Amino acid sequence: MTHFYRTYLMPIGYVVLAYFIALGVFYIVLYVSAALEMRQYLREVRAEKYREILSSEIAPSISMLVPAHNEELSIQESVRALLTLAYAQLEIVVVDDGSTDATLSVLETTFDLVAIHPIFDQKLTTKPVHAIYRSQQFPNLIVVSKSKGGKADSLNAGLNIASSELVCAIDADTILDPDGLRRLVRPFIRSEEVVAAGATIRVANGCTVMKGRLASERGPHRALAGIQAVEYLRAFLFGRPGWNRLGGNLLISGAFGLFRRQSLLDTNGYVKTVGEDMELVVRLRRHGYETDQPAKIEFVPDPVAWTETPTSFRELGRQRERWQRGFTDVLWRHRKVLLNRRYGVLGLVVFPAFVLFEWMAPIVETLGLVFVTVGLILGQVSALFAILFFSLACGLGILLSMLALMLEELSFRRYGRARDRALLVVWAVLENLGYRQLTVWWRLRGVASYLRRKKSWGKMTRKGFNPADEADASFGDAHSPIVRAADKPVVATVGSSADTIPAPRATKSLQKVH
Amino acid sequence: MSALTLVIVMLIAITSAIAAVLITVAVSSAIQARRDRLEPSLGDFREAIVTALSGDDSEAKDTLTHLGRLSKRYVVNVMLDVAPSVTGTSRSVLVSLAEQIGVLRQARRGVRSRRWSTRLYSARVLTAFGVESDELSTLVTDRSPDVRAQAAAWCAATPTPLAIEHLISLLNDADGRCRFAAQDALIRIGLPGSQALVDALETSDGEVTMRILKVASAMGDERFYGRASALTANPSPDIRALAIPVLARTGNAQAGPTLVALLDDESSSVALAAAAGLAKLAFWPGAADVEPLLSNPSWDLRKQAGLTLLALGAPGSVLLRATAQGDGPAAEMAIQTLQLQTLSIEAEAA
Repeated sequence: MTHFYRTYLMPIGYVVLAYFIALGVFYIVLYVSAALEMRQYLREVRAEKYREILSSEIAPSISMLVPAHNEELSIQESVRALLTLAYAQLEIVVVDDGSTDATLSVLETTFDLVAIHPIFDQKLTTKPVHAIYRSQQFPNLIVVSKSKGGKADSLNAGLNIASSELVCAIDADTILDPDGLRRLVRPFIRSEEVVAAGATIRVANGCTVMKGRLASERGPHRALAGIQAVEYLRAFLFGRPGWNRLGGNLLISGAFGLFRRQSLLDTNGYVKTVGEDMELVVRLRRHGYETDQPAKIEFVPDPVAWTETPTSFRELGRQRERWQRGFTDVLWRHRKVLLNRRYGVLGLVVFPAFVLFEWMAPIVETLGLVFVTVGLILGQVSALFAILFFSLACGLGILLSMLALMLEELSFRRYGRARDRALLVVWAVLENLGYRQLTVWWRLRGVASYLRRKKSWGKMTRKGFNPADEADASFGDAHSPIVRAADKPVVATVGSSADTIPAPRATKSLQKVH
Repeated sequence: MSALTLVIVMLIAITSAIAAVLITVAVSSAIQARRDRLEPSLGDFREAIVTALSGDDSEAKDTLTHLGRLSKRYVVNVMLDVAPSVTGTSRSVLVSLAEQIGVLRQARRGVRSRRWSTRLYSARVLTAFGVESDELSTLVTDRSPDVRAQAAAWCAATPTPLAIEHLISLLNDADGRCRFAAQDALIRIGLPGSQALVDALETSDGEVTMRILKVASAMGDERFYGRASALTANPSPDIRALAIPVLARTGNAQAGPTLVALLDDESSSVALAAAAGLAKLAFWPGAADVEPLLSNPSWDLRKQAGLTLLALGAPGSVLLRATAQGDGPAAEMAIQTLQLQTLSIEAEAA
């Protein structure tokens, strides 16, 4: 047994250690890159009020695509929030993807919809469209009713009907900063080579939401949401800006991204897959290299979209498993890019780094754990070494999170209260004691389920930002109570009876944090 | 070095780094907390400034005293928020306040800084207050595209002939931000910039001509008619297509027949623009010339033809109904267009 350990496991141990060092170096490079990017960005936007873009006649027009499936609890609030976004040439296309609940009727009654028969060219094939409506109150609001075909199909239906130069894909339950679009449109004005731009996603659990807008930005006070808030900060203040400078991003969150409509049409829109947002970005970049038309993907750290994250381990596990499955699928679909000189920095730097440091991370971490555990059992590894090795792994994790928190502190400071920020430090430490190991397990399960060709989305339940009994509140209702998202269970009264039903419902939301 | 030693060294390095980061976060947080305690909320302070601007001199003096106690960065931030929303006397008072507390002096110095970020920030401050400065000419040719773009916005705030000249030169800038800012500024300046743009159209070519035409199409000045009309014969279909909305926007009586002639252009984008232009002009004598486009192979052109006929009123509707009786793509488009009309009438009635 000892011979087996020394012959086979010992080399693995050294590989794990080498990987660990390489990972550390990689993260240092990424962090420096992110810090430089953030510094430059903050200097660029200092004292910038974006007034020119707001009222410009030549600013690019934007169509917001909002796929919705069984979103009766939140759709009214979400659409109202979108209608208040400060952008001059804005069209909102809500695509009801065969909802079996009252999503469509809520929209019809709230926004005074009338059926229209717009002439549109079905450039992308989608499930049949049953009807198209326009709001009589808000002429820039269009609602599409179609057979169920999934998120990608809904986005493609929206793309067919949208008429603007740029399209913005968001989830129905996402809350955007009021001036988010003005900030996100800047890269498109800067260069015609930019085909997509992504924004920061933050955790809304704990924030106060009023009339579809964030009334106060608070950090989550519960451990699970708090740890996810740290993860999101790490991904969006550290990872994405870092990649922006190192060779471009591979990922724009499906919760909030802006794309050139023609580029999406040229690449056949969204593909039905678990990770369609990442797949789309990789395809856009590939298309750029293959047709010799530069296709830049930009990340803007400032515009923020707020989203509710899972509040139970069960949901979180399903979400992470799905992300990893989608991630694996995208890497496999586009495996031709890997180390291929034709794809320049994408093939030689970005793609290999994602495979090595993102996709392989849970596998190597598990190998390290096996190596140390077996070594301990066989007496080949001292307890001191095992403890130090574990501390090292945790320490690196904590350091990365702390660096992200430092970037937040020195840049945007969106969580205004000192107590909230102090709590984030606590979550950053706690993350490494159990949570991180769990995510490794979920990610491994994601890879395994991909290998078993499991393609379902699973279900994600959300508490919603708004209780259902407020669904009829008018747009200008000044008495609408303030609701703290996800801090209390939500009930909906059914008819005149006193029956209550649990508010959680299935949604199809997919954001990525790598 | 053994594996254990390596791990210990790495652990020490990581722990030190965590401690350093924590100290930075704590110090920064403490500094910010102190600032927050000393400074009123932005909303309250903004309100105080607005009240002072609408009041008498004594209130302005009180505000000035108050401003002197706060950090300049904070004060400038509030003033930049307020400045674009006030005009007339209030604006003069605000500019005077900014001058007295040294904000404008610092900005004038800042535009000569060696750091691009300082030049940019200073130019933003001067733009917000609409202050004229000799430094503008230098900033228009600055090496930083952000600064050049800001200089363009500044030109819009101070539309002198020289500023307009600078803006026209920025239409040929290599950076998209600068071109956008220049186009936007020229549109905001409006009629005072028209003659310079007409003159520039005489000498420009290619991309610059296209950018000027985009600006002109948003202005609708009769002075563009002659040059735009000449450009409808330009060899480039892109230029021809962009000259058409300019013609249509002028509302000149001669524009209708010119656009009708362009319906037969070899480029479908030009024909499409001509059809859209006829709709804008409501040139109903052109309806019969638009009708054949309903059977054009280009879907976009068929759609525009249908919409144009709808916009031309009774003559267009008659032609649409006649086409709808037949079959093929033309009839299909005509039916869809007529349904659009019916639904919009129903919606209005509802």
